Amino acid sequence: MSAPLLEVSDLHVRFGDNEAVKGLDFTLHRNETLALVGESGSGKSATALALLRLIEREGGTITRGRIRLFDEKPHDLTRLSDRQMQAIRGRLVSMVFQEPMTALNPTMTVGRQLTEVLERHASLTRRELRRQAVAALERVQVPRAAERLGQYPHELSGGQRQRVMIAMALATGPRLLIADEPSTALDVTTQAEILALLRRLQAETEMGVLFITHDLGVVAEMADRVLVLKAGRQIESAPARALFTAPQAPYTRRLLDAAPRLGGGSPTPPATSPLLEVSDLVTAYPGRRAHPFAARQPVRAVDGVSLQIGRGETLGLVGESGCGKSSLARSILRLAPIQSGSIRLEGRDVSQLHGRHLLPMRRAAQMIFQDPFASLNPRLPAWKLVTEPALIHGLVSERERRDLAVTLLSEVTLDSAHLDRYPHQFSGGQRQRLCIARALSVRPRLIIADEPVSALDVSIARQVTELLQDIQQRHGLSLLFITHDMAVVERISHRLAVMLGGRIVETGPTAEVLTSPQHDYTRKLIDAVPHTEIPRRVSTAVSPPERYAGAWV
Amino acid sequence: MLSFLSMRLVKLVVTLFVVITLVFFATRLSGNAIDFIAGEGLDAQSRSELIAYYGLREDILTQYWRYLRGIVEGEFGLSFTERRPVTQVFWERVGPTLQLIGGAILLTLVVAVPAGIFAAVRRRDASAQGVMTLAFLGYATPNFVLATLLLLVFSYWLQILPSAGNDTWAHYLMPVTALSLTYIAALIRYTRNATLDVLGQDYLRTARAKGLSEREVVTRHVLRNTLITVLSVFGLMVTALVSSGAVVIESIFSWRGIGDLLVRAAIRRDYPVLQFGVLAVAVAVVTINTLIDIAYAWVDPRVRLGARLT
Repeated sequence: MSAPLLEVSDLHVRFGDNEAVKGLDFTLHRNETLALVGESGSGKSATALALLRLIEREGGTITRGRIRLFDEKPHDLTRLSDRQMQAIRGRLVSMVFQEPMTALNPTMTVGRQLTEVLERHASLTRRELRRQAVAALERVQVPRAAERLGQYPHELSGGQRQRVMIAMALATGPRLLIADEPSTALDVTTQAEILALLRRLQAETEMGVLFITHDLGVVAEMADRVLVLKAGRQIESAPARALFTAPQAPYTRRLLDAAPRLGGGSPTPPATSPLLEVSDLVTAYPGRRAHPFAARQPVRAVDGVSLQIGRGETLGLVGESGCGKSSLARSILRLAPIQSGSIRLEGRDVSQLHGRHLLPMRRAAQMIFQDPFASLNPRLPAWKLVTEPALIHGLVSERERRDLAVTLLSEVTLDSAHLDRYPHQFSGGQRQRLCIARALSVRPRLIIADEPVSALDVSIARQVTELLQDIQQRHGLSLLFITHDMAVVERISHRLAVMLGGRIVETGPTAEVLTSPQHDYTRKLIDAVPHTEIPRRVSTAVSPPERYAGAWV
Repeated sequence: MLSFLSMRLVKLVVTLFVVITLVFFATRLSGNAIDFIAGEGLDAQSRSELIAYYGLREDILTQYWRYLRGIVEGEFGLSFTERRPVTQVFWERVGPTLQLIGGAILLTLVVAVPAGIFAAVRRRDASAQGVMTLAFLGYATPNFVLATLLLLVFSYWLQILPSAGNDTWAHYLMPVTALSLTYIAALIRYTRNATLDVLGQDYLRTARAKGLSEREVVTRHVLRNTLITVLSVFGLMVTALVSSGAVVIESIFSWRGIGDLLVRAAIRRDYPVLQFGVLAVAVAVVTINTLIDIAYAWVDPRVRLGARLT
C-alpha cells in the first residue's frame, strides 16, 4: 500500500444542536477508492463537505478532530485559513456532486465554468486555457468537445452534464476526488458509463477517491474499502470483498438485504381477464413553431403503445427518463393529451370521455407519483389528505372522514396517532405511504405508480415496494409499476414491458424477459444494474451471462 | 428574433387600436370641450363657428372615423387650448420627462441592485439590517411627501437647490431623488429576496469547491442569476414610471414635462392632446416590454425569444 493521502481522525461535525458526524476515523491512500455508505441522514455528505471545509457555508461546524492531507508536506485542513483553503479546493481536492443540473451554473457556458477553475489555480494565456478546457472535456469522452465550450448546461443531457462536472473537477489534476452520489441522479445505463469513466480516470491519474453513496450495488462496482455510516457513527469498516462476503455488523447485513438486485425471482402471472387494454395509443404535446404563422410540430411522447393489464396483475414498465413512461401513465388516466388510440378500462373505452364523464374512470384508476412531498398539499393534515378523493367521489361524508382516515392509515401501516400531522412532519417513506392511502381511499381497481420509490432510501424503498405488493395482493388490484430500475420491478411484477423512445420494445413474463431478453436495449438495462453479490472491483471480471447464470436455475 | 419582433408589431397595432378607441369615446363622454375653449359670455354665432372649426359638429362616429384616418396619415389634430398641432406641443415636453424618468431609472438600478445583494450576502450583519430598515421606510414614504420635505430643507431653509424648472444639473437632484425613492426601496427588497434564493443554489457550492473566493462567487455566479429575477420586476417598474409615475413629481417641481401636459389637457378637455398622450404612452410601454424581453433572453440563456409570447 502506498503512502496515505488523507487521514481523518476523530472528526465531529455539528449543525446547530444536531451532531451530524460523531467521531470518524479513516485513512485514504493514493489510487484507492474508499466508499462512505449510509442512508440519508447518516452524515456522509456532511463528512464530504467538512473535508473541503465547505460545511461552514452550509451552517455547520467542525467541532473536533483532525483532517490531514498529504501533499509535499502535510496540511491540517481544520487549521487552515479561508484563503489557504481556497488554494487547496479545486487544485488538490475536487468534488463532484449528485445533481449535475443544479450543480452547474445555468447562466454560464460550459467553457466558462471549466476555464474558471483552471484560471483560479494557474496563470495561463487565453489560448492555453481553451486548449486545456477542450482536453479536459475530451478526457471525459464528451464528443465534439470544442463545440460544447459555447453551450449552456441545459443544452446537454444529464450524462453529459455529469461528464462536464467530472471534467471540471479533474481539470487541475487533483490528488483527491470526493464524489458525492455522482451517479444517483442518472439513468441506469448512464450510471454504468459514468462509473466506468471514473474507474478509468482513477487508473490514469492514481488519485484517491472518496466515493459517497447509499447504493451498495455502486459500492461493489467502485470501492476498494468501505466505511458504513449510521447516524453519524462508523458501523463497519472493511475491504469491499470482506464486507460483501462476510458483513459483521447487523446494520450492514440489513443494508445488503435491502439492496435491490436481480435474480431474486418474480411472481408468476395470474391467468385473468384484462382490466386495462391500451391499443395504438399516441400522446403528443404541442411543440415549437417554425415561424409565427406555422402550425406547431407536435412532439410524440407516446408513439403507438399497446399493452394489457389483467385483473390482479402487476405490470412493470421500465425505461429511462424521457422515454415516455410518465406520459403513458398520465394518458391512461386522461391527464395528458391523447392524439389517437383507445384505452379500455373494464371493457369501456375511456379515451373519448370528457368533463364529469371522467369521474367513474378516475375512481377506478388512481395514481401514485414519484415525489411524495410535491404531491401532498402542505397545508392539509394527513386525515384530510388521504380522504380527499373519497370525499370528491361522494363515498364518504364530512363526518365520517376521520374514521375512514384511521382505516386507511392502518392499511398502509401508519400510526393513526399521526392523523393531524402535516406532510412536513412525516419522513419520505411515510409520505409515500400517505399517497398510497390516498389512492386506496376510493377503492380503485387499478393503481398506477410512477417511480414511487426512486426518491427513497434503499431500505425504505424496499418496505414501500413490499407494501404496494401486499396491498395489490390483498385487494386483488391491478398495478402498473413504473421505474427505471430493473432490480426494483423484478420482485413485484408478473410481467414486464420495456419502453424506449415512446414505444414498447419488449414485453413478457418478468422471469422470461430477464433471463432471455430479446431486445438490445433490454440487455443493456439488465447489464447496467449494479450487483452486490460479487464486487466487480475486487474480483476478476465476470462476463454478464455467467453472472446471472446461477440466479434462475 | 425577427419572427419575435413581427409578432410584437402585430400585438402593438392591435393594442393601439383598442387604446385609441377607448380613449376617443371616454374623453367625449366626460365633458364638453367647447365650454373650456370658449369661456363664458360667447355669443351663439361665434360658439357655433368654434364648434365647426374643431370638427365637433359631426356625429361622434364620423369624428372617430376621421380621427383614425388622420392617424394613418400621421395627422393627430390641433390642440384645442394651444391651437397648434399636438405633435408640436408634445415634442417640447418629451425631453424633460425622458430626462427625469431616465435619471430615476438609472439611480434606481445603481443604488438598489448593489444594496439588495449586499443586504442578502451580509444578512446577519447590522449594516445589512440597516439597509433593510431604510428600504422599509422608503417604501412607506409617498413620493410627494419626500418631494415636499426636500423642497423645504434644500430650497427654503438651506437655499442651496432650485425649487422649480430644469435648466441646470442641480435642478435634477431633488425631482430624480423623490421620484426614485419608492422604486429604490421596492427593488432593494426584490433584489435581496432574489439573491437569497440564488445563495441557496447548489452551483454556488460547486463554485466554492473550485477554490473561488466569496467575492468571486458573488460577482461571477450570484449577480447574473439574481438579475434574471430582478429584471422582470424592474420591467414592471419602468412601465409604471413611464405611464404614470412622473405626473405628481412634475407638478410639484413645475417640471414642464408630459405628465404636467396631460394633467392640464384632462382638466380642459383638450381631446387631441389627451388622445395623443395615451397613444404615445402605449407605444412606449409596448416598446419597453419588448426591450425587457430581449434583455431577459440575453441574461438567461434558457429563455428563447417568443416562448413567453404564447
